[in-house]
Amino acid sequence: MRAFRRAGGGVLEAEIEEFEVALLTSMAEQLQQLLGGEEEPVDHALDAFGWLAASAARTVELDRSDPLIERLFPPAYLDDPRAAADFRRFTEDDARRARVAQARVVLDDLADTGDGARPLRIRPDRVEAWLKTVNALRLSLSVRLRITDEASLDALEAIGPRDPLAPLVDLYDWLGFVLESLLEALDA
Amino acid sequence: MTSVTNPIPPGEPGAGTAIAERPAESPPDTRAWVCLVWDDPVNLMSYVTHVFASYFGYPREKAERLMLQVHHEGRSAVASGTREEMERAVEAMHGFGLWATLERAE
Repeated sequence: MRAFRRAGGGVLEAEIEEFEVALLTSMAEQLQQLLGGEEEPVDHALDAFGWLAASAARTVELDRSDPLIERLFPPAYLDDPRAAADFRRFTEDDARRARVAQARVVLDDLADTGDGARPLRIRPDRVEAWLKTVNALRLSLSVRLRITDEASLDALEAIGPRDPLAPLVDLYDWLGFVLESLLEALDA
Repeated sequence: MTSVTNPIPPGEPGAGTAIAERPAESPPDTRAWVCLVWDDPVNLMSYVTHVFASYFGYPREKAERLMLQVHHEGRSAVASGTREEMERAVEAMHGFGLWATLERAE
């Protein structure tokens, strides 16, 4: 992938390789799955009660034992577990749906490249979804790589190319490049 | 040992009256709250600056100063307001993948 550049109309554009399209697509789909996946559209033929029941049935329980879920939905209050639980109850489902929808934006823009045959083009109103999703993918790798502080980050930077974690570290660095490049083109 | 003065002056209404006059709900919390953003080793400095500038509408210099404060001091109060406003800010920061909490301003 080359760095993003500004095309006409505020569109951010970058050449992207076929394997990079496949990689990002796979990661964005995994993120969606972790967050409960996409929903079937609501059946408007249902009456009010049926609609409520169908909505309730679709409430997704996130796996709180997964450290990535804790990282994406951290407590809002440090010293008040009850307030933190209330906050979570009132915000979590919207936040979860928003992340699934943002990953959908990324997946659709990737699909529009025809497996990298055409440049990746991100319209201005879709840039935020890209930033949030690429950042979430970086966060997800950081959890798998157990990056918890500067020391653990330094230790990973020092691993050799034959270390089993090396491909993940490369991927983590590459996502950093994609994010940095998006931000630079945005501010250009 | 110094004796403690009874803080309740004589002549206050009795307990029954006080309960009858107590509002049905406690008054709204008008004290200031702050949204704290905490340092983490993952989020890029350029990304954190972008989030502060784009979400709060801060000029680039202020966004950068707050980002550096998070980075060097471990945390920074990036916004203040009512509890509801700060809950919205924390929700937005979480949406960007930043580690944020809210608490009463000191």
